[in-house]
Parts: sequence; structure tokens; C-alpha cells
Amino acid sequence: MKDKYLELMGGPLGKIAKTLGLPQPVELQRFGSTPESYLRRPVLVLGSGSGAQTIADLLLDNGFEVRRHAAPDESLRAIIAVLDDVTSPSALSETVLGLGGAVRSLAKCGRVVTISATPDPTAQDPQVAAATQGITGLTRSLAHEMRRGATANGILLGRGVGIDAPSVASALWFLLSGKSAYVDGQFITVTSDAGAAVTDAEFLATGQAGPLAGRTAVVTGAARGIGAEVARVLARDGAHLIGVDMPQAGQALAQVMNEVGGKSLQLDITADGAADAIAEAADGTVDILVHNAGITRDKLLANMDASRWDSVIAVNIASQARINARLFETGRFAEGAQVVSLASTSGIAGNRGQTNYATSKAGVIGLTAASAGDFAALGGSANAVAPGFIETEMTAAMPPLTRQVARRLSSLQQGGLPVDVAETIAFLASASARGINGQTLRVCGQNMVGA
Amino acid sequence: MSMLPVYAKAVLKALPFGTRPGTDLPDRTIGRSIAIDATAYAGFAKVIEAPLRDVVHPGYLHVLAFPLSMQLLSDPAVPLPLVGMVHIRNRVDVLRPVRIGDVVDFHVSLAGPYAHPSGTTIDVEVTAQVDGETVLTETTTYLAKGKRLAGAKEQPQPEREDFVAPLPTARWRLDPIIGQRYAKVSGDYNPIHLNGLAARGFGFPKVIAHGMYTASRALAAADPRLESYRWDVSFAKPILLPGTVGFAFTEGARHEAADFAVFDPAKGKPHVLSSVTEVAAPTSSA
Amino acid sequence: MPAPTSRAVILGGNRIPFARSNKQYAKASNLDMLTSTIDGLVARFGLAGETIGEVAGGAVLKHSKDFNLTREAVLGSALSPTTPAYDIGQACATGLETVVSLTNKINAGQIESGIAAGVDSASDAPIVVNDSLREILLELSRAKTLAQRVRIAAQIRPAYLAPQAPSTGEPRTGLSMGEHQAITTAEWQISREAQDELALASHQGLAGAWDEGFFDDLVTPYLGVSRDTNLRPDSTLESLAKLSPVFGKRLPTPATMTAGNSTPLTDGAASVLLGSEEWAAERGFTPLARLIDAEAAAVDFVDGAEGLLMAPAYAVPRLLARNGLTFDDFDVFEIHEAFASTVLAHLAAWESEEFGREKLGLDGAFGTLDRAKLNPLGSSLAAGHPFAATGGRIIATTAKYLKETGKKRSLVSICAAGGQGLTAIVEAA
Repeated sequence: MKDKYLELMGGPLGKIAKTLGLPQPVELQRFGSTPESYLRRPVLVLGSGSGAQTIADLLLDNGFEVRRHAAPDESLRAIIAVLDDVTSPSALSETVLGLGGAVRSLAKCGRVVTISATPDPTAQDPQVAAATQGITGLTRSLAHEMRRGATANGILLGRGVGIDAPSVASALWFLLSGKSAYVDGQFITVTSDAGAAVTDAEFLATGQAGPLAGRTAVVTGAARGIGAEVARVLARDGAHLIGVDMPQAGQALAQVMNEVGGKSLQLDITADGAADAIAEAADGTVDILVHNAGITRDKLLANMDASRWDSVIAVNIASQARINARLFETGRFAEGAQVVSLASTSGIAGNRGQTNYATSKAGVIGLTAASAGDFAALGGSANAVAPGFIETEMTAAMPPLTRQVARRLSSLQQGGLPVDVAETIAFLASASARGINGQTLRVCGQNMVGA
Repeated sequence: MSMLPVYAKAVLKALPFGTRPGTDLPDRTIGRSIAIDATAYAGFAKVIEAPLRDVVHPGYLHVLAFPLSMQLLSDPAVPLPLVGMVHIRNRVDVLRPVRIGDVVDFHVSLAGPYAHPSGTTIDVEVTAQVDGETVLTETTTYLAKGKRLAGAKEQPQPEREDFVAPLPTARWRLDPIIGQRYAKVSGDYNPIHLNGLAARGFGFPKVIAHGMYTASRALAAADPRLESYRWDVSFAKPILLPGTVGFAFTEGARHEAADFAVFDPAKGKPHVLSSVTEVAAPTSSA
Repeated sequence: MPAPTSRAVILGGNRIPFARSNKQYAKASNLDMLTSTIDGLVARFGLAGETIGEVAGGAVLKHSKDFNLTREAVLGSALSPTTPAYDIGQACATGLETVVSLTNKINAGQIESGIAAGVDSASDAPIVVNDSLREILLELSRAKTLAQRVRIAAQIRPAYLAPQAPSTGEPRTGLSMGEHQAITTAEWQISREAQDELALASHQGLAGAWDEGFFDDLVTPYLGVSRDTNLRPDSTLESLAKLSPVFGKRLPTPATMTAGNSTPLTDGAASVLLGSEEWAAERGFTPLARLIDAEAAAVDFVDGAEGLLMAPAYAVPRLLARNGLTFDDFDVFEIHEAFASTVLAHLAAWESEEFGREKLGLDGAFGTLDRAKLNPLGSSLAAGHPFAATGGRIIATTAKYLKETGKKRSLVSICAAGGQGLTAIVEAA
């Protein structure tokens, strides 16, 4: 589904919209469509502690142009505010005001990244907790203030996780790249020092040099929509694909799998033996598993029949839980296995007519968080991605006005694309992201829903 | 060679004026020498669904002699009208295979008239020779129905066996166009095979298939693989077009001496009864 | 024993659901269906962009433009365009013959991998012009001058313009296959009840296999069809008994063959992936089974000396004798159900003392097979029969069945037009 309004804003109508105070979305720069000039622009690293220096050095080592102080009239690719050492709310002032002074210098589709400790009221000193929690409010609000496709996100360091943890770098590469174009106002929590160190160039490489090279990825619901795009992106990043979908979707699935050189597996994921069939198709053990398959059967709860409720629960959450459990039970998750599940912003904020769907998707978030320990024990990870308004066949079926409103409800004032969700999944499935575990990351352009 | 003048002459002769000669047939023999042309023969073979081989189907030799037969039968000296004459029997002795490219000398004469339970018959006798050797002889019997001639010779009539229709081993669906197709390759443009009105004029509700088409096709299906053989055909009910007919052997089998029939599979009535019997090849030329 | 080397293994298969003709696939050509079927197989095994040793395929009802059907399908598929292909034809045995032929090539070391395929559309069938018009048109194309052309064109009569639809009739007899089989049915005195029972078993077997997901990795949906459309899981003996006979009505004996115990005209395509053991191992493919030996037979049906579809009754005894096997050595019998009575006539022939002595040259009857092992997952009566696709359907089905059940040996038998039959032994790998 083409977003006509977004197209018009790129033309002469953009000026008129500005005068009228209408939303002015810009075409986002994604992986592969990010101009070379943008990539050459400097990154400003703010913060006075050793953490800031570590980040600056990391960027320098990876070939970035780095500034420690804003230079007037210099267009910036990104501003990174390193606040990992803040001990009280009042200590935020210098870095935050520096950030404010530089924000206007951000290039189109520029990035703000805050790096701070995960708020942890149970373990942190009240002042520290106030500061860390405060930073989340800061980042979210700044995200709302961003213009021209720029985003603001945070990297949170879990308890005991150093700023030099491999997944901090990996998260940074993700957030600085076009792969995170539609991730806005969100936090990536690095929960451990696990994960393989990766350079920015390695993170952005494709094919046999790509971050998923040599690994086999199973994607459920891969015949169309987000699932098909996930298959394409994982394949682009070097993974061998096994696409799973209902037997009825076999023709579309075959097409996608032939396009990415993968294998199709026609399977009802709710059936007994689905896990075994998946493991068998993956030559014995499952390395990357993307639980993407999902259905909607919308109805107000008052009118909900058993089949609508049960089928949504069975497909969207029960099957994920059952497949994970069976693969653990049979020892068929590979060493370092990484699972990424599809949640939804509906699961976070709830949605009228979607009690069944929101239950299942909130369930995914819970399942993911609760599975983290098991996966950590394997050296792997389990995470979820919660897409907001994504332009798919499903949203194309919405009434036109509702669709237009839904698009503009996000800070980026547009709907996301399936590729945005796929990029986030590919990131969370990569070896360098194994230090991110049990998390749910929203890909929603900072949608008001569920904020 | 166009047969149209012959038919025109025949029609004229049928009109109720002119002279009625006596009972004697013209005793002349007329001849014609024709090289078997591959293309023309292929057209014939295709229509009767015979495999196109070097050896020529005897039905084609009948076709080549046919204009001579008509020429004789339409002779004013013949005491019976050609129009309305019905081909009731045909006997061919194939003595030697005739091949494409052979130059065949045909000699055609008339025999009879003979008395027949239903009228009077005349035989057309054909001898075909290649390099002076007789390769085929044919006797074609025409019946002038209801016409009696005082001086007609007596002749033993072949026994009519009761025909019991077997299960068809093949079924032929014959489109009306088969009349035109066979006319084109045989030169027999008798309007009863081509035109519904003409057919009705002769008492048939529809156009009818050429008898020799059916007989030739049946022989092609029987596909005798004998050096020399006798091919007897007797024509019963004409086949109305379009129509579906059954084919089956009543005795013997493909490639051998055999009896075989083309019949109405629904009513069990015969259309064309044929038999192939082996005959010894003559040791010297006729 | 045959097959001095048997490196070739059956790795899997793919087909599209079979659809009754002139329904869902009415507009799909043989090329469309074959390409889609190959694509489904390629996706199942992750072979996109790969070069396969050879693809062999065919169709019984073929357009003249499809002279290179299989190669064209390869070019339109996800396989590498450097994959060679060839067409073969053995009427309804075409599909099985592609498997036999590629197996032999792999065993001979000529190729390491192959895709055996077959397709047929009874909907998008070639329509030919009347023979007379065709002759005139050909003459016209050979004419050199305008005057010649005008003279030739003037021969065209309106009646010549009516097209001729293809028929499934035997060219030499003009009888349809059903009419031929009706004679055999009467000869072997196969009862209506026995035919209906076999038809019912076929529907039940196939429906059960679909329900348990047996075909999930053997079939890829096509044009919105995800199950064989001829399948009637709710058939009963009563509903079958209500159908009027369609064949054999001209025979003196009561007609017993109905639309329920005869296969309908069907559209569809099927394929089988074959490879040498080494090739399979390199790619991590698990062999399902191997084709051990095959035997073709033909009968002289033209004058009615033998039934048109009786050739398998001769082929099987020869095949088993050569391999030193009897019916008791088999766990499965996959006998293509052209008509219920075809299968039953074969069984009756094998059980007949007279047939054994006079036709097979044995001391007595050839043998009785265990009916419980016959077509356990249904066959063509339920699935339908897109002529050249049936061999691929049966081979893939029986190969997977052997693998899943741990059974050892399957006998495959397919009767074909022209009085032919092709039979094969498939063993678990």
C-alpha cells in the first residue's frame, strides 16, 4: 500500500502543509537507501565520563567522523549522549543541554542515542534510579520533538553490563544505521556481556560476509507480508532460510523461498509434531527461529465466539510456547540459538475489538521475558518485536480514513514498512545481539498507541 | 479426370426418351495407363486411414479404374440406366503388390447382364498389369434395382449368411465431410455423397458414405499382410452421414485371412461385410 | 537381479492438487502447471538457482507449441537455466517412465540428480482443425503464386471450419478408454458392488491421508486449490450405488461403470526429486526410497484379443519373476485406478488359473494379493488422474509411505493407452 500523502509531501505540497501546520512526514532513509553524504557526516559524542570516551573511541575505530563538541553549522549524522555515569537527576544538566544545543544540527533522518543504565528501583540508589528513569522520559520526549525523519532512542545497560559489551556496539550500529529507520522513542536493553563483538562494517555487510552468514533461520508465516520480508532480510544478511507457512499458503511460500534460495516447509504450526518437523527441516537443530506466524479474528469480547478466541490464542502464542518447549525438551535448540517473536503494540496498549489478539501478543511479551533464562543457558537469546502500524495487506484492508489517521499517529507521521520490522528481527537474531535477551522492542515510529 | 461429364451423360440417359437398346452389353475393352503418384496416393491413404507405405492399397486401384468403369456403364449401348445403379459387391484379387511409382495398365470391360433376385446386375471387370504382369483383377457388381431384362444370364448368387453383430472392437465416427474428402481423393463426385438434396432425390434421408470408402477403410483396419489375397466385399445398408459405425472381425484376426464387418452398432445391421482369403500367386503372367 | 548399481534414490516429490477439468485450472496450461510444480519442488528442497542433472517430463494431451514442454518449464522455473530437460511420452505411464528413465541415468552415472515430472490438462486441451481444412491450409502454405492460393483457398467449405476436440479415444479403435474397459469389466464379470467398494476405499484412504497432513510436504497449492478437488470424503456405498452407469451401456451385459467408480478428466502436475546417494548426502537430503526395477508390457487390444488396460497383468508377473519375488514380499500395492474395474480385473487375472496357464505360461494362477495392502492412501479414483502426472503422484506417495511406516517394498503399476502397462518395484531406502 502506497502512502500517497507521504509521496506528496516530498513534492511542492510540502510547503503548503507546513503553512497549514499539517503533518510533514519525510521518506525515511533505510538500509540501502541511505545516501553516502549522510554516512560521511560526523557523530557528536556527548558526556563527560569514561563511557563517553569509550564510545567515541569505538566510533573512531569503526571509521566514523567523531566530534566531542558541537561545531557551529556542521550537519551531524547522530548525537550520542552517554549518561551511564549519572548519579542524580541534577547531574544530567550539562550533557542534556549540550544535546539540546546540537539537535538543530541533525541531518535529515539523523539519530539521537542516549546510553544509560537500566532503571532498576530494586537495586539502585534512589538518586540513581531517579536519574536513570528520568533519562527514559528525556529520550521519549526528545523523540517526539525530532523532525525530518530523525529519531531518538536509548541503549540501556543492564545490571553489571559494561558499556564495552559487544551488544552495546551492535545496538549502536543498528540504531545509527538505516536498519532502525522506523524505531523511534525506544530502548534497547543490553542484559549481559554475551554476544560476539562486531564492527560496524561487519554489521552492515551482506551475503556470505553478512552478520547471519552460515546460520540457518526458520521463519514461520513466511509466505507473505512481514514474514516474507523477514525471510528476504535474513537471507540478505547471509542466513539459509527455511520458510514455514500453512499448507494452503504453499504456492506463495514456494515463491518467496525460491526468491531467497531457501526451503519451504508447509506446516500447521499448531499441529502436534510441528516442532519436530521444524527441527528436522533444519537438519536436526534450530539456530534462528522467528515466530512470526499470526492471525487476527477481531470481534468485541461481548460477541467473541470460541473459535475466534481459541484460534488466535493457538496460533499466536500457544504454538510459540509449545514449539519452544518441545525444542528445549528434545535438545533441538542449537548452541547459541536465537528466537525472535512477533508481538504487537496492540499487546502493549490494547485495542478495541482485539481482546484475543492483544492477549496473545501480550502473552508473547511475557513468554519472551520468561524464556530469557533458558536461552541464556544455551548462550542464545529470546526477544520480541512489537510492530506498530506497518503497511501490509492486513492494514491495506483498513478503511481509508482510519488508515490515514493511524499513519499520522506516530512521531514519524507515517506507517512503517515490513522491512523495518524485518531489520529489527535480523538484528536481534544476530550473534552480536546475544547480550540482548528477554526484551521486546517496538518498531512503531513512536506510535501514540501504547506509548 | 473429371467425372462430371459422365454423370451428366448418365442423367441424360435416365431421362424417358432416347432409344432403349437390346440386352447385349458393349463388348469392348477400354484401357488406361497410369503411374502411381505418391502425393495423390497419400491423399487417398489419409482419407481411408491407411498407413502410407510403398505398397498401394487395392482400393486405390479401384479408384484409378473407376472413370473407365463409368465410361463403359454410361455407354448408350448399355441397356440399363447408370443413374440409380447400386454397387452391391466387389471382388478384388491382389496377385502382386503394386508400389508407388509403378505404371499400371488398366483394362476394363463389362460382363452380364445377369439376373438378380432384385433386378439385373452388370459386372465391371478390371485387370491391372504392371510390366505386362497381372497384379490385380477386380469384379465390381452393380445392381439396377427392379429392372428386369429378358435376356439376362442366370448366375449363381452368393449365399447370404445371417449376420449377427459382434461387439464392436472399434467405432468410427463419420462426419458428413467424409463424403467430400473421399470424393476429392477418388474422383467419385456422385452427388448422393455430397449433397443432402441430391441424396433425398435418390431416396436417402441424408448423404451417404461412399461404399468403397467404407470398404477400403475396413481393409486398411484389417491390414492383411499376405503376398496375394482375395478381398471380397458385399455392401448392405448404406451409411447415413453423420453416423457412427462399429467395426469387428467375425472370423480370424488382423494381418491374416479374416472376415470383418462394418455395421450399425445400435441396430446390429450390417453396412459392409468383407473377407480376405489367401490365394496362391500366379506363377506366370496372365 | 537387475540394477547392478542402484545409486539412485527417491528424495521426495511435489505436485499441485489435482482439479477436475474445466474447473479451477481451466485457464492453466500444461506449461503453467508444470512450472509451478517444479517451483514447489525446488522450494521444498532449497534448489533455487541450482543446476539439476536433467529434468524429464511429459504430457499426454500436448499442444504442438509445447514440443519442448519440460525445457520451457525449466526456463520458467527457479532452477538454473543451465538445467537440461527432455520430454517423453508413454501415455498414462509417462510420469512413471520419467522416474524410471532418470533412475537409470543416475544408476549409469550419467547424471547425479534429476527431476521426473508429468502434467496434463484436459481443460486447456489442443483443438485441431478438421483434417480437410488442415490439408488445404498446408497446401496453401506451400502455394507459390496468388492464383494458386486463390484456387486452393476456394476449396474451403464452411463445414471444414468446425474444430475437432481431442478425444481420449484410442486412435485405432475410436473407442473411449471407458468403452474398452467396459468390455474387460464384462469379460471378467467384475460386479458393480466390488467397483463401488474399491472407489469408496480410495476416497477414504485419500481423505485420511489429507486429514493427517500426509500431503503437507508432497503438495503445493495452486490457484487457490489446496486439496484434490475430486476427493469426496463423504462418499458412501449408498451414494455411489445411486449413480447411473456411463460406460458399457451398449454391451449385452448390465453396465456397471459409473462416474463414481471411474476416474474423471483431471488437470494437474506432479514431480519427483531423484539423486544419487552421494548427491543427496552432500545436500543433507534423506532418501525415502529407491526404484529397484521396472517392467513394461503391452497387449494386442486392437481386435479385442486382450483388454486395453490389461498390460500390467502381464508386466507384474514378469517383473516379480525377474526379481525373485512374490506378492507376499510386498507391503504395499499401488495400482493406478484408471477405473475401479481395471484394478479388479488385474487382481482377477492374477487369481485366475486359466489366465495364469494360458496367458502367463504358468502352472496355475499367479497369485492373490492382500487387499489390505492395496492403495492404502487411495489412488486415482479419489485423487483424479491428470494422465502424465499420475506416475509422479504415486511414486512420491509410496516413497514417503514406506519411509513413514517403516515398510519395505511397494509394487507400482500403471496401465496406459495403447494397451500398455508400466510397473515398478520401489523399496525403502
